[in-house]
Amino acid sequence: MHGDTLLGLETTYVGSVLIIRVRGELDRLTAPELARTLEKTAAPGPDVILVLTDITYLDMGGIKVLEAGAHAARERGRVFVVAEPAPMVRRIMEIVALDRVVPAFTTLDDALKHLPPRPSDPDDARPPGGKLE
Amino acid sequence: MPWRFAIRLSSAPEELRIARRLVAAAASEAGADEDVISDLEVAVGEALANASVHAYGGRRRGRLELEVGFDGTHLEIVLHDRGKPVAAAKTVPTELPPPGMGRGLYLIGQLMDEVRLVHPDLRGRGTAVHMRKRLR
Repeated sequence: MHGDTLLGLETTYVGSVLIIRVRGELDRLTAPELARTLEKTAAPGPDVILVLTDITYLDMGGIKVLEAGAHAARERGRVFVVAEPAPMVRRIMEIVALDRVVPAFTTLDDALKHLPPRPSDPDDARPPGGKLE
Repeated sequence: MPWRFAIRLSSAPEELRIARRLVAAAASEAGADEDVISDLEVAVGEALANASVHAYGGRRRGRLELEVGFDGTHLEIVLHDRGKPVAAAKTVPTELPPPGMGRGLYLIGQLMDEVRLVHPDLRGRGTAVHMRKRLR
């Protein structure tokens, strides 16, 4: 696999919640791509659920982007959580205590239930076209 | 059957990625479980990234050598660099340090059974990271 395709990011919205499905290797080289996707959301931004089922590699570079995303979300009063972490992802999150900053849920449904209700105007959070590129 | 090999590589990110995958493949060949293989790959990847950043300031052309040996039960990995040595007193943290203070090294310590930092020549250059993990 070529370096440019090591990380896959698929973004969708459920209501006003941004769901990012992350695939492949989240490391020092690829993590900036996820950081850019997170930064693209307009303030105050959506609640974010990262689905980390199909992560095959995670290092401190990836961890730092998750921390920064959680920090930015908290500053804006938004929720930033992980759903369906691969066993390796959960293990690393626990070792570096990321699970204290970013709650991890076994299923996407559990993560969605954890989010607070928001005013139902999706235009608040959704960029034009309803989808991030 | 015990085996041992060594590779030389540069600190270019593409080569670091190849090297950690090679270790994962070697552990798989030695019969390690998936979770052990992923622990090894993350630990070795983090050690390689540390060497690239701390020994060579993130430059691509730093020289690295990686030794991998299997004795029938344990995988032993030694990573040598010839760059700026990490602080002589630096040891592997046993408790989670704050960001920027050696969390990568702490992570390696948690994923492996044993980790040691060796400074072959404190006046000169270079650090060796010895790592060991039971495979089965």
